[in-house]
Amino acid sequence: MTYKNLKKPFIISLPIALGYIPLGIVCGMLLNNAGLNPYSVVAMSFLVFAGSSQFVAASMLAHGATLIAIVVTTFIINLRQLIYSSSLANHLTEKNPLKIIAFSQFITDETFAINSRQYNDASWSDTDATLLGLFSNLHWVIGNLIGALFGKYLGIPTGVAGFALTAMFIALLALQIRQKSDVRLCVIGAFSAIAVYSFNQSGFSIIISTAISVLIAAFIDNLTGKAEVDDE
Amino acid sequence: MNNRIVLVIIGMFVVTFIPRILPTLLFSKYEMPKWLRRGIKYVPISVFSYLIMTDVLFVEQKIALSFANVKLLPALATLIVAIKSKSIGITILVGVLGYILYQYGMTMPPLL
Repeated sequence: MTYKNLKKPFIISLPIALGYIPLGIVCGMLLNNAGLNPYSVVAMSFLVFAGSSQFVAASMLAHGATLIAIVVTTFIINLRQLIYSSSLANHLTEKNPLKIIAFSQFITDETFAINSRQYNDASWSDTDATLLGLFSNLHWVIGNLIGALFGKYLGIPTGVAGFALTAMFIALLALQIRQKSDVRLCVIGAFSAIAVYSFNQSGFSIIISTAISVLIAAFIDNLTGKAEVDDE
Repeated sequence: MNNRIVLVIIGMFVVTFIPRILPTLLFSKYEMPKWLRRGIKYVPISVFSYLIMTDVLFVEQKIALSFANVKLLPALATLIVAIKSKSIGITILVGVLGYILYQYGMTMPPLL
């Protein structure tokens, strides 16, 4: 491992830093407000490394949610990692389980998006992909630490910080939309969310709503024969 | 650091670690079943639709479809920016700026 090996993944990680550091500052501040000291904020950011889940956990902790509700919600929000991990599995040539685990621990929405594109470049190795993940994780940890230590002096209004998260979710949704049926799925998901959330606002409403949305979308695709097309 | 927070961190680590490592470890050896691959591909859009809708449309747990809901129009503008730019950084910057401006406009006294 030389400086030259580190340089390329680091440079490619910089656009990710643009999003992770400011958002990490807000996240670290909210987690600190929710009762986590800077050490726990760093531990969580390093080990969990899941932006949306950490924001949701901060909000749930502040509202006194139970441990089970927080963990189950995190699990549901991060089920999408199964898809990213499955998709990236097609590119991996690494066979050493420990190295596969190191690579996989750094999978996020952003590293998935960038690695999927980078793997089209023949010179992009599994080690490069793992290093990209590691650098992204460091950007996230640094942002969170700054937020936990200095967040209260930065005076970021919670409404504004909250909307940064809303905007990130909207951007990640837009990145997922690739074809017409995806727009239909957005509408199905939206109506399912409104219907379920109107009746049930517990931590489980996200599970119920997602299950309904997935079943309806799968049913429609089966009727129109789209599911078979996608399998090819 | 209290015990509850340690448990939350460990719990969150376990449930984020498993969906990350399971497929790469498993599918480096075996083929993915068809039914799972079909269902799983609908999850990201469904989850993000849910997170956005419940965040933007509901104020104090009641549906709020009016201009008084300060997130509604800025979120719509953010969506347009997101679709056009396909960039997380630009979307967050423009979105937050729009939100601040809209909130400022709502609290400003009428001009006439």
